Amino acid sequence: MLADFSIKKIFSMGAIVIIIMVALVSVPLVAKITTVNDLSLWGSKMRLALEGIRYRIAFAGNNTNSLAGLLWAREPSSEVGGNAQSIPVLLYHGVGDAKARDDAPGAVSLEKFKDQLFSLKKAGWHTVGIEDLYAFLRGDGNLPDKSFVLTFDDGRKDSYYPVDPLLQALDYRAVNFIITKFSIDEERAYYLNKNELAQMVDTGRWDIESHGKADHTFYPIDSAGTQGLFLPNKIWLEGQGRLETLEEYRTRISDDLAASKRSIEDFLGSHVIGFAYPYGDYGQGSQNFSDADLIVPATTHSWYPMSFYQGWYGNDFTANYPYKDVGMVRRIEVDREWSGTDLLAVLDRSREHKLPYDAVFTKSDDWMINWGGVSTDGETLRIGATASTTGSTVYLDGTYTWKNYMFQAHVRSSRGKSVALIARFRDGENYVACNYTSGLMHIDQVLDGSSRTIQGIELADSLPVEDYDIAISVKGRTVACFLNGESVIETPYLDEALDQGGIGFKTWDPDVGTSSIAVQSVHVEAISE
Amino acid sequence: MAYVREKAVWFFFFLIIYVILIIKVLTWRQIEHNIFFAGYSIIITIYIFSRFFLSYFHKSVPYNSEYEPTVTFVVPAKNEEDNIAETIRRFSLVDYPKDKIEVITINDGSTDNTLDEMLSIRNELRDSIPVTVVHWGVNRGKRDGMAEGVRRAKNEIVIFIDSDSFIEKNSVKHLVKYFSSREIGAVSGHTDVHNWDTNLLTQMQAVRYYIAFTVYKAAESIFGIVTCCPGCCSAYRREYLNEFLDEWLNQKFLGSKCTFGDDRSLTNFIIRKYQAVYSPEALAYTVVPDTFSKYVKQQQRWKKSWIRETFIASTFMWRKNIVAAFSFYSYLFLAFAAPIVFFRAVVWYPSVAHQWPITYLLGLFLMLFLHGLYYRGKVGRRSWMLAVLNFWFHTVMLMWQLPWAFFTMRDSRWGTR
Repeated sequence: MLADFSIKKIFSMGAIVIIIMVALVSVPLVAKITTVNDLSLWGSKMRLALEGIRYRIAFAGNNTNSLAGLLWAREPSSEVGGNAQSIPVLLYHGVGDAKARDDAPGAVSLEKFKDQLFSLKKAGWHTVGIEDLYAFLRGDGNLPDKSFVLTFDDGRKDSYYPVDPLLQALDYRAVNFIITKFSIDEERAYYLNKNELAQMVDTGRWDIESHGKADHTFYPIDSAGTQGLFLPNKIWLEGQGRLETLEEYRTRISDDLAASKRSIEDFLGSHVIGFAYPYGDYGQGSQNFSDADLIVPATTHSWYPMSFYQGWYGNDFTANYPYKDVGMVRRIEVDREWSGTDLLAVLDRSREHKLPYDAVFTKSDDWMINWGGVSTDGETLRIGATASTTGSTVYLDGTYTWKNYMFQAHVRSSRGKSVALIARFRDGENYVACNYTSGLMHIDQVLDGSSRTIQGIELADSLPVEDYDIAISVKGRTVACFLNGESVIETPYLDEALDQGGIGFKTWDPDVGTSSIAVQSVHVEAISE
Repeated sequence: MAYVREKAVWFFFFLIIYVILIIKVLTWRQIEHNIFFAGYSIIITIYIFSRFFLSYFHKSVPYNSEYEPTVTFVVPAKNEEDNIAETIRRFSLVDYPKDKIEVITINDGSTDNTLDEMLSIRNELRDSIPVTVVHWGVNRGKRDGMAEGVRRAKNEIVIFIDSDSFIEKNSVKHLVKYFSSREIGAVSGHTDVHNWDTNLLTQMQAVRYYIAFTVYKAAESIFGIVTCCPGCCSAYRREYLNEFLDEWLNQKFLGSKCTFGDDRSLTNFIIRKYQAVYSPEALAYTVVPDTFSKYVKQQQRWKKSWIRETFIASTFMWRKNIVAAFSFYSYLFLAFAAPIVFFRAVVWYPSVAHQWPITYLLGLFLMLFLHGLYYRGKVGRRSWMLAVLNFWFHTVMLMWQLPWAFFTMRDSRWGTR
């Protein structure tokens, strides 16, 4: 053999072989990388971390002029102070270029998403996790002002990869409601897989909660094969030619709710406390079962203390309040067209308005439409019926915590049969109103959607149509109505359930598109009990 | 600074070996899924690493002035009027006793002035070394030319030099020194590319030649089974050649007479009984194809002779050293599996399963990078990235030549050059 096995050569080669072997064994052990999967996850972790740094620099760069600011994003100064009265919750599905699919909404573009989050961060908003939200809503914990919760539905891949670096850069966190069938039981290209879920939890930035196991898909709900959602509908049993019984229905949805919770808890070792209704439907959209909106939330709450929905607009306040919204948490479905400023406006109007309060009519966004329409020309607020309604109901966002106050409005003109001032507005189905009708004035109490007059009086004159003042005062259980500064009627028998709530307006006329009111000023002042 | 840079090159060289190994370790379980493809990946890694490993232990024999056998240069030529005189003139300048040198040059039916050039250089050198000119009016082929040279040779060692190749002055010494051992039947010199700076193609070939000799031939040389002592510069012991000269001359494969790959074939006869080794100090320079079509034709010719001689060698290689035999049969498997693996990773999987061949391409790139760094570390030329390019080109384009050559084995039209 023509080989040179001199000591020098053997020693050099031996040394190199040993170094490589030692590195081969030790590095995977130390870095806990034992399969190629770990390696690619590790790679993606590095990539996300790098992107995070890039965002941090970008955020600092357009947020400060100092060189130090470029190196590390500092908490921007803001008027943060005190405790939050309410918590808004945002809902997204995915971020990036993903097109809408039949079974999933489209994504908001990365550029928009970045703009939205940067704007919130700059304005001093910050995220809290789901446990904090639960404690807050239960009344067990305070959160700083300008706290919000960021949530994603469906557990799509595009709700993690484009998002996580931004969370990292802004010190934000998020909740992901996953479909366990697609993420844990199976592996799909479109949805996050087990490795990714574990990695997300590892970052400490993500709460993984439930979006059901198999209840995000459609099933036949009658003999014709009409497709309906899993939770709100009774399913058609083709083999037996009938709809399932109430008992079968309960068992089916309960089993699914339990299975997804157990599946996440077993895999991640976490405690799952939140469930997001697929398509935000907790039974209100049932096609074949009218009690679904009672049974679905009740069954859900037997497994999860909190459930999340969307699509409540016009019926309630934007943010969630302690005691009021523990079980059913409302979420703002962020519009893909919103700029950062648009989103910021939504969150800002949801914050509690302080008393005394004087409305500024530069924009009408703060007024939430239950019915009819609202607009402003900068000086007056015009509330009224639309071309298809006989009347209107609007309420002011961020006023739920108001208790004892006097709400005065100067009306420049009004049209239609009746005009009402609303107080103690809890939601679209619970409030009290001073109703001014030609020749009549009465106090209407609306509880769970049914209206009852609790006090009324006949007036000598009919309501003026131009330049008059009306007011409503609520103090404990006493409600009083005023016209041009004079107390007209009063009752001490307001229902106990209406112990707090905000303000609003209402108009009505038998003819479609007629009723309206032009409000020149709104003034609300606290009164001591 | 240069010292640091050189160290850095070798650091990266070993770092890449490490990265490749760690990928293998992490993908180890894939062997459960598909033994063929995972096996390919493991075998090619072991094969390539073992080449570098073995070549490191390649031994050089010191020159001993006591042993100075007589040598005969054999130069078959056809239409080489431009180079032939210079090739032969260099024999008279080599650093070796003149009385131990003779030259036999065969004019194989040239249609230009090759014969005149041969005769005039014979006259020019008449006081220095004896030059015999054999003239054939009709072309008989290179193999006949080489055989004629061997028959007419009177000296112990026959050195074949292509008519377009040049040798260094001391190359003869470094070729013959190995023959002091009776086991040695053939010695391959180290051939570099003469026209390496002509264009990108020749630069790439320069890198490839360098690594093919210093790594792959050196590794084979350890076991004395260099499978091809190339025609451009190799020495043979005449005594051993005579044992099978006629058999070689009349060699047939699949029923047709073999007209190319004469050098590989000759070496194959030698290593059946004796040893063939590589002499890194015996430097020679050859002119390589400078156009793409010439290059592809040459490669196709080589591939065909490679298939033929590899099949022949596979009938006796198992009797050689176990490591040598394992390497040989591994390479046989790899060469034929490569197009299949490539097709599966780069065409089949992406189109059917939409799975991008990241691991495959990464592995391929790292291997090519490894060769490039070796060239950078050893030669220091800046053009080392060309190695990556060339091996890439070789893998992606030329790997298909092998199956092509296989199916067109009997078509000898490529054989003429």
